[in-house]
Order: sequence, then C-alpha cells, then structure tokens
Amino acid sequence: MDAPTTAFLGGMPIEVDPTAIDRVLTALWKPATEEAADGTGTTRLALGTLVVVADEARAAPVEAVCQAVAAAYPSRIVVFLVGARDDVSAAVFATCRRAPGGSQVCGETIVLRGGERQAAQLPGLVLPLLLPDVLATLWWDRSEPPAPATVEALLPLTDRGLISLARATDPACCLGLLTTQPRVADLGWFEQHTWREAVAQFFDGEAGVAARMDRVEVVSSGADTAGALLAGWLAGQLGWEPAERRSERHTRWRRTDGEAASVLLTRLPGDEGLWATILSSSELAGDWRVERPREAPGSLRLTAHCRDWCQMPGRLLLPPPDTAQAILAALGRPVVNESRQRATAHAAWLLGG
Amino acid sequence: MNDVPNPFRDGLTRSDAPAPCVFVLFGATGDLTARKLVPALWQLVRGGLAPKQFFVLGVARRAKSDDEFRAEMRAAVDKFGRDRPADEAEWEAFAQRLGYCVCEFTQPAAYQALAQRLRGIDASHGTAGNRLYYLAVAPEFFEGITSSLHEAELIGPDQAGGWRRVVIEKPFGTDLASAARLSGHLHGLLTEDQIYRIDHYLGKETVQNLLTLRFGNAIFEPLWNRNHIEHVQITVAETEGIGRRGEFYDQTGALRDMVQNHMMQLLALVAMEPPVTWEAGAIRDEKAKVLRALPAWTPAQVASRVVRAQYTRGTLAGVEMPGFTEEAGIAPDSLTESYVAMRLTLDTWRWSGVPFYLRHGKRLPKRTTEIAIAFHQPPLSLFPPTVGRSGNTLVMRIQPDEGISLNFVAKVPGTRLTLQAVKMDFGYGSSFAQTSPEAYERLLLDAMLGDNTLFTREDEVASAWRFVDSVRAGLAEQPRDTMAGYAVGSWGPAAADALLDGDATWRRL
Ligand SMILES: NC(=O)c1ccc[n+]([C@@H]2O[C@H](COP(=O)([O-])OP(=O)(O)OC[C@H]3O[C@@H](n4cnc5c(N)ncnc54)[C@H](OP(=O)(O)O)[C@@H]3O)[C@@H](O)[C@H]2O)c1
Repeated sequence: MDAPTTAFLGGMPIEVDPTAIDRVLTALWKPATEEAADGTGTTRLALGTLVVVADEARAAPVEAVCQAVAAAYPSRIVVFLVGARDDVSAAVFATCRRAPGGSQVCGETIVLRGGERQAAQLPGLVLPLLLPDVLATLWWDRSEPPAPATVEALLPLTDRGLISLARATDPACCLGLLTTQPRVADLGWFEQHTWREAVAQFFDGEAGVAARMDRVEVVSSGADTAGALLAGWLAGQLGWEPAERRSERHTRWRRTDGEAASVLLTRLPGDEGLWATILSSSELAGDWRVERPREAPGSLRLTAHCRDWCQMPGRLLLPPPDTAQAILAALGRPVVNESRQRATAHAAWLLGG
Repeated sequence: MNDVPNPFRDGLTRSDAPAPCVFVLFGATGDLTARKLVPALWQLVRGGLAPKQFFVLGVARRAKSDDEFRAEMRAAVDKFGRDRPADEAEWEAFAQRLGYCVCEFTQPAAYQALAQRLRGIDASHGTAGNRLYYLAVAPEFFEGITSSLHEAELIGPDQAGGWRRVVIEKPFGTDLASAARLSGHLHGLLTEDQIYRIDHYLGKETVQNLLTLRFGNAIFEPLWNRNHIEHVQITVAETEGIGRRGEFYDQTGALRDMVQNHMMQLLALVAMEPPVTWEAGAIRDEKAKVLRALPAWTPAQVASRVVRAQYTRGTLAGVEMPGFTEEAGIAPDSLTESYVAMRLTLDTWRWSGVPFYLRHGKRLPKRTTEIAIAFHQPPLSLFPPTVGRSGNTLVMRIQPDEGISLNFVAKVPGTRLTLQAVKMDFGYGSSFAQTSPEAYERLLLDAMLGDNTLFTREDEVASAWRFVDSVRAGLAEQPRDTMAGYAVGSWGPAAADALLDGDATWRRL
C-alpha cells in the first residue's frame, strides 16, 4: 500500500481539491481494496450518506459524533463546517473498524470548510457527493434553522433531516419546520425513547385503563421543548385534542369521549432535561409515575398508585443523552412517524405556536 | 391477552409487549439454564423487553434457597451473558424476580408446593396467572412433568385464569412412533397452540432473513424454482466431536441429532411456497407442506442416496484426535454415524428434479452452517473456462459469520478475455455493527408474546420423522462395511462425492 493510502486508512485527513473529491477517493481506495482478495483486507462500505452542517466552532464535538456514527454505521459522511472564510477547502479520511474474521470495514469522511456565502449554496456543494441508491440523511447541527431555500433544495434529495430543538436559538421556528416537514425529526425525540417505552410498559395488558386518564404532567428543567414534546406525545397517543391555553404552563384538552383533560408543564431550575411524568385519572383515583430519581439519574423508576394495581416498582436503564446514539436510532427507524408528527404539532401548540 | 391495543405502543420500536407472566424453568440447575436460558432472560429484562410484572421460578431436584439460586445465576450471567450488570442495583432488580423451588419431577406431591408458590408469586408480583413452563430437562421427563402439572391444575386447555404455555427442547421423540406418542400425550393436556417446540436454529438472524430475502425482494422469487436452480446444498459442519455425550450420541447419531430437526427446518424454509400472510399459521402451513412432500424411501433408495460415516483418528488444527469408536461412551463396534450426506428431491411443481444435497458431520475442518443455492450454468458457453468455479451461487451463512453472498463471473481486467468467479458479500457483523440478539432471546420473547411462528408444529415433526425413519430403516439393512470412514479434519468420506449429479461438487468451505 502506498503512503497516502496508509495515512488515509489511518484516519489522517488528506487535503483534496474540492472539485476532484470522488476522483481522489477512488485513487486512495484502490490499493487498499485490491489487497482484499485474501479475505482479510479492507472493505469500503457505505450503508448511507450522512450530510452534516455545523458551525466551525463545533468542529470537535461534531467530529466525535461522526466517529461514533461511522463505527456503527459505515457510511460516507460529508461534514460542512461554516466559519469565517470565503472559499471552500476539502479533506478526506477513512473511518475503519475491524470486522469479525480479521478484515477491516471502512467508511469515509469528507470535511468541507466554507463561509456563509458557501453555506447559502450548500445544495450545489453537497448533491454531487451523495451516494446513489443508499439512504441520505441531513443532520443540521447549526443553532439557526436552515434557510427555506436550503430546505427546499436539499430535502427532496435527501431522505430525512435531523435537527436539534434543544440547541435551537428559535425553537418555535424549528418546531414550525418540523410540523410542516414530516421527514425532518428532532434528535431529542430519539433521546426520549426510553421515557416513551416506560410509559407504554405501564399499560401493556391494561390498555383500557389508559383511556381513563384525564391529567398529564411533565416535570423538566432546561429547554422547554423536551417537556412539551413528551407531553405532546402523551396527549397525542391518548387521542386528546387541544382545547384551551389557560397559561404558559397549563392547557385544557378534550378526550375522545368528549370529557375534559389537562396538561401541566412544570419547570424546575437547572438544565438536566426531563425529570418526571405523571399520568392521573380522577375516575380511578390513581396516578402512574415515571421518574428519574435524583440519586440514580441514569435510570427511570416506574410507580403506580392505584387501588388493585400491582405496586411492584419497575426500573429501566436510561442511557445518557448521546447525539451519536440518537442519530443511529433515527437511521434505524422509518423516516416518517405519525406519533412523532402528532407529538410535534401538540408541542408547538403547548409552546404557544 | 388484553384485546385493547396499548395506545402508547403505537409507533414505538416494539409494537407488542408480553403480558405479565411467570417463567417456570424446569431443569434450573442444568447446563442449558446457565449457558443460554437465564442469560437470555437477563438480557430481555435488561433491554426492557420482558414484561414489567415478571418472575423466573427455577425448578429442580437439588435443595437450595432463593438466594443461592440467585448467586448461581449471577455467576452464569457474568460468564455467559452478552452484557454484564452495570451495577449492583441493576442486578438486584433482576434478582428480586428470581426464585427457586425444589421439586423432584417424579413426585406428584411436589407440584402442590409448586402450585402454592406460583399463587404466592401472582399475589406478590402481579403475574396474573400467566405461566410459561420451560422444560430444560431430559426428554424422558416430558410426559411425567406435564402429567403432574395437569393433575395439579397448573396446565390445561382452559386459559380463563391466565394463559398456560409449555416450551420443550428437542428431541421431540426418537422416531415417528415415539413422537406421535409424545404429541398424543401433550394433546391430551393442552392444545397445539400452547405447545412450543423450540429449535434454536430458527432464532438465528440469517434463518429469519432467508424469508425476508425470498419474500421481501422481488428479484429472487422468480428465480427460486427448477427452471433456474440447479441444486441446493445445506451444510452443517462441526469441528467438535461428541465430547462427554458419548453414550447419548451412540444412541442418537448424526441423522437424529441434526438432520431430523435443524436441517429439515432449513430445508423447509428454503423450499416453502410464499405464505398468504405473515402469520404463524400461514408460515407453518407452508413449511409443513414441504416436509410432507418428503418421500419415505425404500432400502434400495437409501442405498443409492445416503452415505453415512464415522470419523477415524486424525489431526484437526494441529491436534491429533481419536476416532469415533475410540471415544468414551461409544461401543467399539458401534454402527452409529457421526457423518451423514444425502441427496433428496421434493415432489412438487416448484422443485421437481432439483437435487437437495444435505451433509452434516462432526470433526470436520471448520464449524460452518450454510445454505447454498446453485443456479444453472448459462445455456451456451460463449467464453473460455473460468478461473475458479463458474456459475452463480447464492450463499446464506448461518454460522459463525452470519451473512449472504452472491458469486458471479466477471472479466479479469486486461486485453485477454479471462473470466474469474467473484463474490458480492453482505456480512451482518460488518454491515450492522450492533450485535444480533442470541437466538434464545428472540425465541423466549416470542413464546412470552404467544407468537409461535419460529417454533415447530406437530405435523412438521411427524413428517420429518417419517422421512428420517425410512432412512434409518434402510441403513439398518445395509452390511456393516457400508459404514464409511473419514479422517478427523477432512471434509467427509469420498463416497459422499458420488451422491452429486453431473459436475457438481460439495462446496469447499
Ligand atoms: N445443554 C445444551 O446446550 C442443550 C442444547 C439443546 C438442547 N438441550 C436439551 O435440553 C435439555 C436439558 O439439557 P441440559 O444440558 O441443561 O441438562 P442437564 O445439565 O443434565 O440438567 C438437567 C436438569 O434437570 C434436573 N433434573 C434431572 N432429574 C430430575 C428429577 N428427577 N427431578 C428434578 N430435577 C431433575 C437437574 O436438576 P438437579 O441438578 O437438581 O438434579 C438439572 O437441573 C435436554 O433435553 C437436552 O437435550 C440442551
């Protein structure tokens, strides 16, 4: 293997002419894959293309996330870093891991650096780099939502978009994007999976009870959106329709049988995300709580207080928030999810949108 | 099960969840429990897949306390589990759902104590009377245990007070008559829907993927028949010998140990027609039809279509190993086969005339299980002979490195027209970095969910025995010197090569 290929496979960024990326990649891969004939060589693999748009200041954390994604999901990752410059530079490197049997499986990362002017022309830069036939995903890491023109140009050509409401400077605007674009999802949604699973576990085999809930409370700290999204999901799954906003925190809803219900968003100081959700039924005089105990914040505790209900507490491990895991979870799920759509629309209403 | 769908499950990764239940594990001090079952249950609980109201009650003869049993299971999970407990609290949460009940299987009175314990667990753990009985015990106990459970009113067709299911491990009988007796006995106590005959091969990712590949892609099914397929090879190769199971194995042999169950299931999945729906009944109907199409052979047919053999002293991976009849527990004049190969055809429109070659043996050079579909050669040879074997082969590797590959020929770059066989390969390990769940995890969860798609139905077992019995009867009539030999570490006896038609050869794996 020649020196550039060895450096490339070792993960060393190789500067390339932005107009000749594919040609250089082909040349770099050639010696590596030719040695694969004995079955223990290198396989170039791309299960998809992940396009990442981030601010230059976030280069380090974004790169760490991309490394973790590449390790589990070998792919072509195209990172566009927006900084204070007015031209485009490009570098490429491989991300490899050992597969069973001794061979190594590698994806590739292309890092483009440019300024705001180039960011405005993103589609022209990125579209030639999308691989044919495999899923293309856009992860928008910038705190500003993408310009409508970018959304319009890029979204039809990628299969899904991922944004982070928690980092958005204008969550209401991002929620607007999410409600109108079913193929765009909030990464926070995937981080809340364990919460949704925990609530669902209460009602496995006891589903009839769920219809008798009439109050939902979500306790959280930090960004408003996390609590609103979980509350929006709860109300949406129960089939509730928004009725009246009493205050910023207190809303009235209508159940499928026409009865009234309410949703309460409780804020605590701090920035630790979700703390608890409590579903209550006045008819059954009971409540069902999923809580993250202060003494064990890496888990969820499930407790029910209701007559004739099994009092055995349950416990689920709560994986720490992790952007790479959220992206991987998104890549493994259908692009459009009706529950998420409903939850997002309700969250927008809860936050006054 | 509750008929109202859980509104919170809609849109979640798991659209279905098992109802509360007690997993009653007979043979709780045994090898299978420690190596596979409890590690799988732990993994299900850890992943939040088991019901929240859940209890595992170990049952066996030796006296021990709940705490002793928990400590033993902790050691088993540490040794054999996919994940270790993250901390003591996590293990404790699981351990609180583990218990042990002493029970001499042959004493009906012991089942009253078991019944009482189960009632107590229902009250303390909200398990709602639902029970999954798992018999990880020697097959001679199947009838006794189920009869005693029935007498103690712990099982029965009536499931009003909670569902009752029984999982049994192979062997499901030792021939058609004993299998029918076992089924008859079980059907006197339970309905077929309550009986889960487990074959862990069906829990493997590639085996399930075989159906996805066939029926989830439009390109394969049109080719999946006699017009395009030349032959099919199914190989289950083991490097292991018979270990400490000598006496058991001398009574069983390769045909009954592997062919009657695992290999017949693989055959059924390759050869079945598309099911009308993706439901257990429809899939098992189609599998059963394939097995019904297996003919019962005459001794003359067996003589020309089956080769059996025993391994002889030889070297595997540099270690010299004894021959089969030198192993502990094997009679020196044993006529039990450690290798079997056969050529069979299925009398259906789809498969008429297509040979299926099956081989299984111990002490072969590699541990490999695979299904290879060899397609016809092009009708006319326009090109010079290929470097390596020509022709298209679709290979489904089941273990160890699960994946799918397709071989085809391509031109070697250069000015001369030289063709070479090349391979397109999909490996689970390399494409999907997440580890596949253990086969037992999938199957235990399915049994709790009441989904018996991946379990074997009575008629499948019976048809497979009818065929295997005819092979055994034919072999029994053959003279002693038809038992071939193959050296440890070789790919089987030369006689097996003669089973293949035309210029087909056994695949070198
Ligand atoms: N091991 C495997 O990997 C494997 C794989 C596939 C299928 N299988 C099948 O699974 C079954 C169990 O295999 P195994 O390897 O786990 O067997 P094992 O290690 O011999 O365990 C047998 C279990 O049965 C209990 N037992 C035996 N006689 C009893 C009696 N009279 N009363 C109460 N308990 C009694 C033993 O309890 P005490 O220890 O208290 O005596 C022990 O818990 C067998 O049918 C085997 O063919 C096993």
